[in-house]
Amino acid sequence: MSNQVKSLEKNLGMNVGANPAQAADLGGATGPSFSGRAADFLGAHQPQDFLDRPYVLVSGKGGVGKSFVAAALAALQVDLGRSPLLVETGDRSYFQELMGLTEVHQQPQRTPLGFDLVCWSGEGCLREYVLHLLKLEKIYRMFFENRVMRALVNVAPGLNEIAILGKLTSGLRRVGPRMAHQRMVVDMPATGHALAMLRAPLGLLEAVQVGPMASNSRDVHALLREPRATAMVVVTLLEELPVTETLEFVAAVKREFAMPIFIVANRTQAAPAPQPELRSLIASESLNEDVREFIRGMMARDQSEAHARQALHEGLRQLGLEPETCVAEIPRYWAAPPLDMIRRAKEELRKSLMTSS
Amino acid sequence: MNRRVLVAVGSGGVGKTTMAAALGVRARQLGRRALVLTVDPAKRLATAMGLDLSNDEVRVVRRIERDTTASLGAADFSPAGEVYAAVIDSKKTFDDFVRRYAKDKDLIERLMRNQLYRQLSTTLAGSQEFTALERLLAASEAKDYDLVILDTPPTQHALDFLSAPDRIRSLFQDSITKWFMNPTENKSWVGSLLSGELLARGTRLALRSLEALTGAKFIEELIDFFASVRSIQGQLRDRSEAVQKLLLSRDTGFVLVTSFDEAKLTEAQHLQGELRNRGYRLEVCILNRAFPEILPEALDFEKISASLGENTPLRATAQKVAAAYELRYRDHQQRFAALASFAQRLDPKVVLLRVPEYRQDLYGIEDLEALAESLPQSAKAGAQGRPAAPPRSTTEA
Repeated sequence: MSNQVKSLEKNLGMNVGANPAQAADLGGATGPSFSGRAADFLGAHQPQDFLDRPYVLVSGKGGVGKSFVAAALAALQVDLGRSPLLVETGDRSYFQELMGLTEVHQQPQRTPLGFDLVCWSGEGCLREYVLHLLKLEKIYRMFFENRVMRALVNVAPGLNEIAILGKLTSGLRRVGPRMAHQRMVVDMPATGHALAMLRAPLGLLEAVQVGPMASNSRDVHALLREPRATAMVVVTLLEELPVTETLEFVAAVKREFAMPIFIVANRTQAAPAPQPELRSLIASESLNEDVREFIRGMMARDQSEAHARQALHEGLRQLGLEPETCVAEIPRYWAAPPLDMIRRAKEELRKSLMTSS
Repeated sequence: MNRRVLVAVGSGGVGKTTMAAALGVRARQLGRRALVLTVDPAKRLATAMGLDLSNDEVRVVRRIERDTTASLGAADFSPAGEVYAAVIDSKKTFDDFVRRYAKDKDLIERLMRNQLYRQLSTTLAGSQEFTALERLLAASEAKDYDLVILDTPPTQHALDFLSAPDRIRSLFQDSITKWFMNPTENKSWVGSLLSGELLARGTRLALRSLEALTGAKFIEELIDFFASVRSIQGQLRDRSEAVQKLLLSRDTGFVLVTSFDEAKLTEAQHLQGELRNRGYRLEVCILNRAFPEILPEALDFEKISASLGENTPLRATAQKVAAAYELRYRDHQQRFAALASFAQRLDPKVVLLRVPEYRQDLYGIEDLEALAESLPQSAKAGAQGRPAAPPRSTTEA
């Protein structure tokens, strides 16, 4: 044990108070620009279509169908001949049961839709990262089993988020174990938490400016800000509250990360026939009031969606986006098995996404 | 409901905040003095409640005078009732907390400047949980209100925030923080701390590993943070314990909000189990958007088509409508099955409220009032909603 400890101390090298410039991989406050770093990782690759990027992030207000759309996007990637990884974040997998898999965690598993699925937790990613840096399992365990460290890790703000982003981008940054997948679709948390996650690297840099964690954070941030590397799909419903939240979220993401953005309006409920036809039917005396009420209900829903659609398009235009090319709509699929719904949504998305980049 | 504290929990997108507000208004209608604490209300709801999103002041929610709302009976109003609302400002609550409990002014300033503290007090993940509970505790202790309702933060996992007190408690234990005690202002003691014999070998190594990852400056900030916080750690722990006690007390009830959707019901099931495991009192389950469609009792499209006679265009339209009805009916049946299964597994003591979906979003305080008014009816509907077989009609009151 004491030999290993000695070699660790040697490995770590740094004496307290040593010149920070001696630290490996510095960067520093006036280091290479963010876009410069990203270009290093990406080379000259230009995306051929919206999905032709290493990281497609999917977010939106809670409850609108983010995960569903993320799965449809991953399925579309498969159709395009790519082998994406669908990444869930958090402690529990949403798709596990749906896809008929047991225990989805840190290791990818193949799904019936042809893509691989994984669920990364902050703690899991952090452990991997520390193990990679400290190399020796015994030392790593000493690190995590130490009460002080555990307490700190539990409370440290943003640490979990950074660990996940770090793992996500590790392949491109050539850090850590090899990643089998070049393309990832990430089922992000809902808008507020997604923003917190995206801001975590910069947040860390305010507290830590030197050392491997700082330079890694700098690189992660560079990739998030690189339009050729990362894009955001925002899922919404054609309802007032989700549309408002979507516009606020899009504004923030554009402003802080300059990410290419695509909107998916989910679960739309178009009336089964044009309004004039339905009105004629309602006017007919053969109907009883219940049926009229039912038809009116569908028409009202259609109307309110039209208003929400208008608000969404207008809001996007004000943010400098073109709704004709950056919005797709997926109808509500009634009483359909989940995997079927994902396949159908995939077809809808194919039409819209293959014309933008 | 006789509780003094209600905590609204539930997954994202179920209308938790609206329900918390409605419960507050209902309390007011019953003549009580209520406070609704929210974390992240939508602008429209905030406006309806008279909240200014830029600060955390407690505001009176505008009340409807009797003569402007004909539908609400005079008997439902009690002049004594008042409802207040406030948006929780995490940073401010954190800072207020520090200022209240740290006695040394220099220490306060030092802590406010510390990078770790600044990150901790402003990042979403770090601060909302702690401050929401702290505000709840402060409000319930103040005894200014008969009822305090907390609308919980939309965390990744709806009950994450409940473990915040435990995490804080475990961090600020004497056995950990004493190692960071700084007897002098001399910064170089960091070096002696890490190379000397004060720390156990394991801890020293762990800290050196951390230093290699983060750099010496971060370690300094860390140590500085702990040294500053040490003087208030006693209070931090006491508050955390008091919060836990409050959450488990007889005076506190939990309200689980969910919606008429298979995925949400599954999550609600899971939440219910977690609440039970931790010993929290689940009072009410609110099923929001319980009647998303008005589905007629029986739609005989054959008959309708026949009666439309030879008018082919109308028949064609009727066919389309029939097809739409068929799809929705099947979907509804599935959801009702999920609901029946959920209701069966719900503890029989828990009141189940079924709130219908409104065609439009809530526009103002009138809508909140109406929603609040309808809650007792929703309880009746909820009680009926535990049948063995799902009913076909959804047009009950």
